[in-house]
Amino acid sequence: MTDKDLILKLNKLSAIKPNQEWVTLTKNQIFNSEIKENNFSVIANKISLKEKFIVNFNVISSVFAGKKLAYAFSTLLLLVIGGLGIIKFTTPDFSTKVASLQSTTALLPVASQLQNDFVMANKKLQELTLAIKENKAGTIAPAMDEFRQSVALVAKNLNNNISTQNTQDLKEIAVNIKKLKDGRKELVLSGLAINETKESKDLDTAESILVQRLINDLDKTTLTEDQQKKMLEIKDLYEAKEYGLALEEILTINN
Amino acid sequence: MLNNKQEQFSRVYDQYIEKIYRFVYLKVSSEEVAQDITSKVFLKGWEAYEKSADNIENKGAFLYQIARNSVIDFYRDRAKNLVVSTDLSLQIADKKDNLHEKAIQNFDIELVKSAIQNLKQDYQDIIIWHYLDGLEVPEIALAMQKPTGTVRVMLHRGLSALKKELGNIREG
Repeated sequence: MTDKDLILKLNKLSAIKPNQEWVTLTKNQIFNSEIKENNFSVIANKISLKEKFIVNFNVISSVFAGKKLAYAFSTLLLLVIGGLGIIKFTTPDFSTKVASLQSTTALLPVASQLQNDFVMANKKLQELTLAIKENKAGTIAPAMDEFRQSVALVAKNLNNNISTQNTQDLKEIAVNIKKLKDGRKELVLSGLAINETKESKDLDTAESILVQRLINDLDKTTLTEDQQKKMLEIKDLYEAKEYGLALEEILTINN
Repeated sequence: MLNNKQEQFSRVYDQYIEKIYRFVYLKVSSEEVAQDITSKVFLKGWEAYEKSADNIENKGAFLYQIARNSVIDFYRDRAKNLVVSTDLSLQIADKKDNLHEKAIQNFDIELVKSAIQNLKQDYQDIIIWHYLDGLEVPEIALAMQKPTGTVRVMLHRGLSALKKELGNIREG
């Protein structure tokens, strides 16, 4: 089949058109604020809330700023994976700051918002680290809580957006996740009590999605015999939920 | 009576509704799901446009991006906690004998549609945008945040991949 024949076949897909009654109804519903929240079917009712943050648009330039995202993520990732602390400490100041940051970042594309989240979490990590070093009474708990909240933001946005990253960016994120795991070990060794929290579980979910994406991308490439054997091991690790080990193996495959 | 922004977005809606619907439909292969997702795309688009119309430089690219993400979210949510790659072949079968399916009787259309769904998402998007929606390479490059040269290469590879898929389907 020639390219020309194929393009002619593709052009036939132009026959796919929506039902005109539905088109008219939908248009009316969009501009009717009283019913627009209720009249859509529930089949895809869990479309991500991240779209609410897509308002300012140099759309595309920001959404795909993956490389900056990955490097910012690396600093952030030292933060948290296991979750830090179960001590709840009310920090109105931080909540206000978070709310303020969210309201401003609501005007930014997704990737910029993630970068802001990383910057915030990184800042909170530094504050926590300092608090631990200084070991001043009453400073560690609030620092841990603020840090935990900042990571929650990262985990949430990362989970919502990881699927949209390209393969190269995913690999960079994988490197950063590995660094994070190493950083977590250091935190544990420093004596900091790290318990499983929702945020750590969210990050774990993001990691599993990352591994799956990378596996699928690698499956579509041409692999050497050795690489194919390694892929089998990687898939076994994935099935065993050893995402960290799977990531380490994936990074050894240079594709 | 529509205000100025509503009138503007109304025109955007008219211009892109068929394209966005077709873009989504080719990825989900179900009229009902495509309608649902497309509705939400334009609702979200309107919400954003209402708040900050001046900041949306390329309305088409903006809507396509929402549509792309919405499809990804749809599959992820359908799988719940299972990981589903958007690059996997779509297995959804719309078994209803609906009006849309009736309208598409041409065997070639079904064949090409199935082949497209077996491609990687980037290839799907590029092929749909360029050959169906008439977007030029620079526009696609902007939408995908990739260099123009990369998009040209991807377009060529996507077409080759599609040709191969069609061959596989015919043989199968």
